[in-house]
Amino acid sequence: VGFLRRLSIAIKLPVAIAILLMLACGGVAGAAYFEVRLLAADVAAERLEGAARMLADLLGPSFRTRTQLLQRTADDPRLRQYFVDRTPEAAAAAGQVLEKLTPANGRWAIRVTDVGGATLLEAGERQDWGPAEATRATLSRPSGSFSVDAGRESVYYELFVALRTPVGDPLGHLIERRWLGRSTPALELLQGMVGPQAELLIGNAAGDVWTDFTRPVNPVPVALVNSLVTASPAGVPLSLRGVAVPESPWVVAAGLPTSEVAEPVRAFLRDAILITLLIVAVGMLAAFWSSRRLTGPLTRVTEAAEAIAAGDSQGSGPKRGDEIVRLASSFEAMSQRVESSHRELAMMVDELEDRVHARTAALEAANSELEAFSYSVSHDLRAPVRAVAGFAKILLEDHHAELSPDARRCVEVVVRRTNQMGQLIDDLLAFSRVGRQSMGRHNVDLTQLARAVVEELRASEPDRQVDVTIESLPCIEGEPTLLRQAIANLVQNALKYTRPRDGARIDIGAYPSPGEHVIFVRDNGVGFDMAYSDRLFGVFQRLHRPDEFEGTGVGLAIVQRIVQRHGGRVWADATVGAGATFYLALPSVKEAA
Amino acid sequence: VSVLLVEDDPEDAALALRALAMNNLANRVHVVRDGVEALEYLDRNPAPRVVLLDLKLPRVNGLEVLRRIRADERFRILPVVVLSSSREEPDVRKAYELGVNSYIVKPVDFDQFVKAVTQAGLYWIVTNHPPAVSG
Repeated sequence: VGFLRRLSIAIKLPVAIAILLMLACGGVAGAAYFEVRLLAADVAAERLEGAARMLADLLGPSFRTRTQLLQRTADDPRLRQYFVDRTPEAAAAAGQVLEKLTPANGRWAIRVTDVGGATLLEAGERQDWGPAEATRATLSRPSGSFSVDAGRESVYYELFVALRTPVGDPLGHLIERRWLGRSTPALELLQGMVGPQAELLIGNAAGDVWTDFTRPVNPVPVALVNSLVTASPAGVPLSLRGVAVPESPWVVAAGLPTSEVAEPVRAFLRDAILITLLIVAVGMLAAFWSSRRLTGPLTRVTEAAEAIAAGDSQGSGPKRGDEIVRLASSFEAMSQRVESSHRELAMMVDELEDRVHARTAALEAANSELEAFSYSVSHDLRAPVRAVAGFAKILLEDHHAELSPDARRCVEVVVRRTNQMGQLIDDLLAFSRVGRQSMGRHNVDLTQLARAVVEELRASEPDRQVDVTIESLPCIEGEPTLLRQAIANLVQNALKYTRPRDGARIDIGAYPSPGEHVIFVRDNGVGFDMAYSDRLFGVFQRLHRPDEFEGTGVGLAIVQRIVQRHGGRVWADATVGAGATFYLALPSVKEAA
Repeated sequence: VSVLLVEDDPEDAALALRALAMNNLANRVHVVRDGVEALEYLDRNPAPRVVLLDLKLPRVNGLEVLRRIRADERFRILPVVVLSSSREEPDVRKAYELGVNSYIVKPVDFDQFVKAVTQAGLYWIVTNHPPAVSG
């Protein structure tokens, strides 16, 4: 089936049509063949039955007249007298009576038997009549039954009538034996009528003995009286039809060689097959031609469609005038529309890309301008702030005695606040550095990185007791300095906000998520109110007062900036008084930063 | 002269001098106000023990001064310490590539500033043993 599907329509169509034609022609020819066969059989049966009937009509009357003749002879007083006298004279007189029955042609014999079957008188061809039992066997069969003679060379029939006294007492029988001859004028006439091929047969209605009028033949089925039968009485298969000869125990049959009866049927079959093949061949050629005409345009449409699919939208359909052409022209219209929409789409895409480029460039320019500005501002701010802080400090140190306590307090505020301002500037610079830091693509082992960071930060607060656990963290691709800063800021935060805790605890771990690794830093510190979580990652955003925890509110902003530059996300989860967990989701497959 | 301080900001220079003075090093400091002056001073005077160099300078900036110092055969091994407000990685890297001996970020906090300048001055003038500088 798969093979059939792969075949082109140009082949499938003619083959299908050829198969259909073959089936149709074969069906018609087959039906006609059976019809013709029946017809031929009917014709043969009719012809043969006619011949048989003519034969029966010839033989029937002669059987009847001969039987009547025998009957009259049996009533002859001279025969009766012989039974009374049994003298040689009486025998001679009876013999004369018998001699008178001598037929015009053919072999013939006649005899008179007593009641026991013994032969008393005879005439005609000398015969060995056999014992009385043979005579009784003859008499037990219908008068006229055929028998095969001792030499099995010929067939004869025996007619008999009873001999009786005038009052009806049985005396014996008058039995006539006759041989059939082929050369009777009637038979020859009949043969001429039915044709030399025809075979004429006769036999007992009992079916035991059959002859072709010359010699015995194989018995044929007596069913031939009602229908055409096939049999081989003399070696050649014959179609036979028979007719019972009236008032006799005979059946006559006419037969033709079966091959001759079937000849017209065979001829018809030959012609039918020839015509079928012719029709199939013509149909196949026509189908092949028309399918070529049909699939040619389809092929061109397909090729054009393939060309369009491959990007060349110049494909055009075939040029002709029916459904195919309508398909082709609508295809052409479609391909033009596809092409024009492709063009429009390409133009729109180009325009969009241009816009995106322009916007991106503008954004990048604005961004770098902003970063340069924030950098130079904060950088340039440092010197004056340092001068203010420095000279205020000099004032406190060198002119301590000259300042009133109130003036000293004021100058101390200046010193403290300028130092704070310096810290803000430094943090702002650090934040802007994250944006300007070039992004390397390195494999970063976060486990090692976290261990180093924790070690370093612990060293900065050697007096604190903090329980830090670092689980196995993934390796990710990114900029090591930035990632280190992000982790450091988170750990630093955790250290800071667990400071009031006795059993301070920090857990650093990770879990996989589709397409990314999530790294978390969990502490059991003071936590924060989730209501303010949206402000957590803003620059200078703080959720604690400066006198609670130091800081400028830039650390988490830097963390967010770093994670965003790595194409990741950052979020937090916390409960006031129970600790906070910060999550970094970093892509496991690196995306453009 | 032991220290050549290249500093355009007079207050910063004053603060640095004060920090050095607190360790009795101030009288051995010469201050110039920009890169051109620094190069002229070096050209005409005996080499100092160390050059404290700001990066953000008028006319010829600090990195260019450093480059020219290192390009001059006489000052190829002269100790130069950058004393700058910038903690920018490119500045640090460039300075080291040009052969700076140390890089100090000026803290805003005065106490820390004093500490940093004092440490640097003491180290380079007292602790460190430089090679003899010709010229």
